Amino acid sequence: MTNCWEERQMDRYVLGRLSEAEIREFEEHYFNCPACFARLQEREATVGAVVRKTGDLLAPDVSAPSLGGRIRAAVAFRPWAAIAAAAGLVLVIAAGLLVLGRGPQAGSAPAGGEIVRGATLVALEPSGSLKTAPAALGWKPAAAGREYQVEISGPELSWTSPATETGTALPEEVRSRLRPGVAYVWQVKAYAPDGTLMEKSNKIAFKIQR
Amino acid sequence: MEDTKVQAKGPIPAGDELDRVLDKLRPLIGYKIKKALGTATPDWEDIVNEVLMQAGEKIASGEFRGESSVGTFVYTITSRRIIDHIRRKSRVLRDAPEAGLLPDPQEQVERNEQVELLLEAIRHLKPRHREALELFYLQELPREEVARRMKTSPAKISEWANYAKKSLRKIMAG
Repeated sequence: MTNCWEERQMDRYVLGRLSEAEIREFEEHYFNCPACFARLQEREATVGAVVRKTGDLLAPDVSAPSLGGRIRAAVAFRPWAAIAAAAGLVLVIAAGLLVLGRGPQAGSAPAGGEIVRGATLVALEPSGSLKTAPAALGWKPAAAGREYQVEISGPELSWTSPATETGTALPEEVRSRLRPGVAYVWQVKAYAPDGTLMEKSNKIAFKIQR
Repeated sequence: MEDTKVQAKGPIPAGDELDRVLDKLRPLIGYKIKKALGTATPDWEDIVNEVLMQAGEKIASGEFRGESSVGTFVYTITSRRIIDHIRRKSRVLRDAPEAGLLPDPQEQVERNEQVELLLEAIRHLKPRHREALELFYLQELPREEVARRMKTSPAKISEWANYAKKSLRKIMAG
């Protein structure tokens, strides 16, 4: 009997994205492994729900109205609120201008080792559907004096590497392991020289077209 | 850990033990048949019974000599039975749906690629956000039940599930 399969491979089985040989191998396995069959049933339910709700999961978030919308809604019922809202806005804008005027403090860091996700560190490319394996990863850097580490993960691939301030080339060994049609997610993290994690970028998914 | 494996290579089951082993395989056979033929196939349960009967006869008669596990043996019978069924049906198929009514295979592939991307993104969520999303939003369990399982308040479940959805949109939007 072959080894138990991991969740990603089960999902690919449920979605019909395995080769004939892989299907046979997995089916023969779960006919001999009740634990894997039980997990497969769970994944079938989860994958089925994601299939049904893909549209909703990817739809723009309309549950939170914009600031302007909230103010308009308030004013519609309480005219006095317009004056308060306008005064509040003026104060917020004035405070923002004051802060911007000072500029960022050199070497400033979040207090108490707090991680600021994506405040300034922004993963840029690659993202989405690509024609070929990416040659490099690029991002908008965080504050000066940071050290960077990039991570890519996906089926049968978990790669971590130190990187420069704005990007890193992808080694040929890693590029050759990226499989067409498979989803990978990557992220970059910024560390202080003492090794404290300071910032995490947004996570980005990409896949290479078949 | 009793009964974690249906069977392994070893003594060939007989009598009540054989019935017990085959009974445990029934849901697996049913799942495989429905996956291969589609859930709308009305006679899938008949095929399951035929597979079990055939497997039971072959094992009891000594035709199965224990060179593989019973699970593998039954899997092989199931696969062959599915192929037989498809061949038989394709010979008598008269009212096949027109091609235009079937889902476009290319669209299906692209949709499944997108779903796979979403599933990968879900795996990258924080564990508590992922659990809230899966139990409350995907499996649609009552919020109070999810809160009980996750040992937190119902309000937190909504908050975590919503946060998970927003995170997913960000990951997918790149």
